[in-house]
Amino acid sequence: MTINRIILATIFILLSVIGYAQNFINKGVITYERKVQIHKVLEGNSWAKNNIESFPKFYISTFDLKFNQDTSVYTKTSEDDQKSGSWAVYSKDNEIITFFALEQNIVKRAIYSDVYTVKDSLPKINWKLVNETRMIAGIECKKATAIINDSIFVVAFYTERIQISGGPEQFNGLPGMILGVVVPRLHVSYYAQKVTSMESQTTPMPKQKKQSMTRKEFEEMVMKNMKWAFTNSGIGVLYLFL
Amino acid sequence: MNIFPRLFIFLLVFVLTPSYLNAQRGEVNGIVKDTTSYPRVANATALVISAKDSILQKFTHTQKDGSFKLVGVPYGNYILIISHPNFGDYTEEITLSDSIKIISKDFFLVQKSILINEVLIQRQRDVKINGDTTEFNANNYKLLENASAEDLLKLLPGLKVDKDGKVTAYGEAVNKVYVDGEEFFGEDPTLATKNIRAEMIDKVQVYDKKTDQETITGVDDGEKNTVINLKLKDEFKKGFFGKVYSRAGMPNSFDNGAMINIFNNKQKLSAYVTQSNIGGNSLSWSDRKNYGASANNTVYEDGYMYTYYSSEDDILDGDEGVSNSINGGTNYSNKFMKEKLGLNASYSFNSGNRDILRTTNTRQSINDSVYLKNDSEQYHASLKLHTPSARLVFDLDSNNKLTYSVTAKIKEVKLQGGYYSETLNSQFDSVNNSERSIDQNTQTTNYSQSLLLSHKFRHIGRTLSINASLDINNSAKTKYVNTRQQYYNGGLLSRKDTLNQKNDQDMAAQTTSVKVSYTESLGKKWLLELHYKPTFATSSSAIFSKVKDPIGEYTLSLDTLSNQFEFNSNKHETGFSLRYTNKKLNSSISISDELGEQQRIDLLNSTNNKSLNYNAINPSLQLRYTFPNNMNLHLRYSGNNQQPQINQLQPIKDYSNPLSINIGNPTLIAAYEHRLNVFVHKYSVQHSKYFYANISYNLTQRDFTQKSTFSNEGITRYMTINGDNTSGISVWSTIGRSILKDLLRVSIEYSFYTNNGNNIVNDVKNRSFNAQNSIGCEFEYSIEKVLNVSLKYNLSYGTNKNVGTITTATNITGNSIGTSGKYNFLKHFYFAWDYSYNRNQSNTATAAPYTTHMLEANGGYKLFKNKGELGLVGYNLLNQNNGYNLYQSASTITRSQHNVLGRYFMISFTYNFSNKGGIHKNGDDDDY
Repeated sequence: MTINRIILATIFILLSVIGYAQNFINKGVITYERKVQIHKVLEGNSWAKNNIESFPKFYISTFDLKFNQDTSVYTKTSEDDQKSGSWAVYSKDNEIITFFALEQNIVKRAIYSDVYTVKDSLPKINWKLVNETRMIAGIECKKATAIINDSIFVVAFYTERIQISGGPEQFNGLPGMILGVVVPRLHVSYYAQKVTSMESQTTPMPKQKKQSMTRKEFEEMVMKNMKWAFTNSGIGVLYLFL
Repeated sequence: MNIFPRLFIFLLVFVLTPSYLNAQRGEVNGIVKDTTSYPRVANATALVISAKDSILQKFTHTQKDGSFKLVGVPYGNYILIISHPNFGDYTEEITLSDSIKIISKDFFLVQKSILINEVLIQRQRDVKINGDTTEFNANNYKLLENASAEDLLKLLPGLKVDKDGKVTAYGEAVNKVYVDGEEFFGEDPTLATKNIRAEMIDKVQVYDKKTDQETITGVDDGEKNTVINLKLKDEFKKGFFGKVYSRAGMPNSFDNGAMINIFNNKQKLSAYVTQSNIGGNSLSWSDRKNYGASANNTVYEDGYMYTYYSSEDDILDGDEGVSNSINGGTNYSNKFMKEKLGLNASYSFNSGNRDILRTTNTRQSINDSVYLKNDSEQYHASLKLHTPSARLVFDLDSNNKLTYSVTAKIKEVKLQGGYYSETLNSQFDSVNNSERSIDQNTQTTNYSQSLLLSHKFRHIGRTLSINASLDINNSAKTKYVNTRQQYYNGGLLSRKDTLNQKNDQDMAAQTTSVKVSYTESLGKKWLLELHYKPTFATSSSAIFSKVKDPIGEYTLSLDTLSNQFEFNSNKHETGFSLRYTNKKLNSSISISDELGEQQRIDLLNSTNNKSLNYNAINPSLQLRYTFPNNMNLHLRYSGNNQQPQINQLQPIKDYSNPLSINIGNPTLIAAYEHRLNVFVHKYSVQHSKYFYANISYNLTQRDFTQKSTFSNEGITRYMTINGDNTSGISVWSTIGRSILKDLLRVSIEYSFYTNNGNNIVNDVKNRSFNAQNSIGCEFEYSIEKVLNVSLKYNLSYGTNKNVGTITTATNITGNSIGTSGKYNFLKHFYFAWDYSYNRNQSNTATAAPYTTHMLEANGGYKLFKNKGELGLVGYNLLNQNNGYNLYQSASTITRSQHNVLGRYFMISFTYNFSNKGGIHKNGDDDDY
């Protein structure tokens, strides 16, 4: 009798686990591919335009987002060849830890050789839902758009199969995990290549860094010291958001 | 004991602290359930977006028991969406306010396996019906790389494209196709449908086009003018595209053409040239229009113009004959001054030849006698036509707008040929026969322009607009006619007439009209429009007939066939319209009064001068109601005064056809026509279900009836009288949907037409009744990019009853079956076919059933990365195309046959080229 019960229970558990894995993912890893259209970025830059051909068309790098229902950790895993140099300064060495319940994140950001740690609440994004869908990494995603930093238009695709309001970089606030983001103005896109469910995965709790600043303090510092970045069609935003 | 200060502070904090959480904020909660199996749906997402801008306000997920709570939602209008990957979305418009602070209920989701997956997953598959515009999302239809807009239109429900490229939408012919709202070779819609590629199109809009003035006043006159607008995708607004094709066959047939389009956002430049001599297979729809007499008449707003047509001018109407032609043109459009000034200019030329050979057999019952008439005709025509036109739209500022358009048509048509006809009685004895040969040259110039100035006042709804238009038509024709008539009595020749004359006909007409329209809004939903429109039309016509003198020159004047007269027609139209609109209903009622006078002055014989005055009231009503779920209803009613023409009261004597003579009727008064039309259409996204029905009823009081006397010599003398009321109904409806997982599209079309008419022959009244029923079904099966097949069947039954001294009734039953399709295989090969079979059977003993079989096929190979196609085309493969027509009316049955091209083959090569400036490849960021 008890053996039957054990078997039944096991089957039940297995079914629920399998069922769960098919339907919803609560813990796992998402691998994103970030693609930057170098040629388009350099179009605005006068002297790079002359030898634009020497630059590759795309700068591709991959990131991992390890997540569970409480936190997520976003890190870079690989990089394209170094030829693009410092032109594709898009969150070169970012690491972002997000705490969903607390609605806070810790962003570790490198600007040239300095590393800054910014701890603040999650940036509030006013998402507009659009009645369209798209398949990303084999999962059907719904579309949403928003304006960040007052003028930069972004498009995001999220899935309801991962009911965590996270995503790559600092993107958050949608009813499901964001699997794709496009920022047309900056010619950059993030698309999930692979989504792996890891029920047994325990995400590491990050250590609290002692010196950290708020986002506002970080913004002011960047605006003051890198004014040139803001004159170039809003590229400055990448120092703050991406 | 200082509790009071503490208490005071405590109370202060708790009583006076506003509870931010509750003031001005509401809550939505509930339990989400499944309509079929498990009672509760866990892990569903419940969210609210603001109704006006779709911004996400709050979201949450349902618990294991299906319950959820959205708290702290600020008051306002929202759309609540509950979704889950395995179920269809639930959406509901909600409002949170002081009176509705909490919304709490159960929500039911339907499993996706019940709803057809494709419809929900592919959310882009939607058709929007907005007022009278139906918008199709072209992105849903996957076609091959070089498929044209025409191929896309064929897939849209409610639209049909025939072999010649003519498009009908919901049964109405589409005469104009716009590209991004702009004219694109305005005169010929096939230049847009055959050359714009399907992949360039984002949306296809089908709507009722209003005139510029109607767009400003917001009140339309109820005339239906169905047009299509192709909205292009952004990435295709820059770059160039076009095609080159060449077809050649034995012994000497060819069909070549090239078209190039250069688009650069606001600037568009297009040019094309075509050269072909296979026009006889099915005379291209535009060529037909160019030759036809209708091209002689510029469309100017209901001005009366007296035109003198001899019967030869009807020869070039219709699509008979074999032709060759060279056509070309260019179209340019651009916007200047920060898009304040828009210009669209085009020029086209058409030049060609046409040969017509036609035989006609008519069986006519006049009371109790039967006459048989046989005609045979042969003509050669050549045409040269130039059409420049331009349109300017100038937004002077946000309140003032100027629109100017001008079109000219310069045409020369030469016609040579002859006609032989004989009339026999039922004993096959000759009654008469006649022979005629003509050689004529006609030059016409049409010039029309219109200017619209509109001003919007600061008070919303108050506008003033003035539309002035001028139309000028001139035509000069020189015609040599040689005729010989022979009349028989009891089989023996009793009379002979011959005439050899030269006719010079000059015609000039000018019409000016101005419409002043003022609108005023009476509250949010009501609008009043007042208008005044005077029209002044004057025309003159002179015909000089001369016969040969003893030396053989045409110098002797023939007064009986010469005339010179002027015709003036002035009218003043005053009226008003009242319009009511709310969210679902758009309705208007108009009444206009028309005061007119017409005057005919005969410059050679003042006894032929005649004038008339009239006053008519024409009301109209229109209604457009939008039901929920994409269903629309339009209703139109109009009453129209039918003014008799001066030619019907007192005609100019015309002896060009001695067998048919018009006698006037000075007592003729106006007839009155009532027209009612109802149009319903509905579209459901699931299975692409659609339903359209167009029902019209018309009733004419005191209808103009022909009263004729037919003499023993076979000469008909006729006049127009006011007869009994006549009426007619026509119904066109179609219903369709996709079945079998949306791979197969089925549609059923039913049409019905009935009318009645009168005529009086030899003082005996004949009443005729016509009814035609037709029902057909069509199946279309397609596998994206691989195969398209369609199969159609149609059954029609027409009856024609004539009640006079004897009652005769004839029926024609028609059966037709057809199939067409295209198959792409082995990556680069393609094969297409078009087959049709028709059988018409009349119940009269003398008529045998008539059958036609038509088969066209082509096949080939794609080269150059699918940009090119090399193939073989075969036309009329069963060699049974024979230009046969059967026409039946109250008392006559006419069978005619004209020349067409026999079977032939051609080798064809097509190359499509494009360079999409700014286009992005797959996976590119901007292509989101």
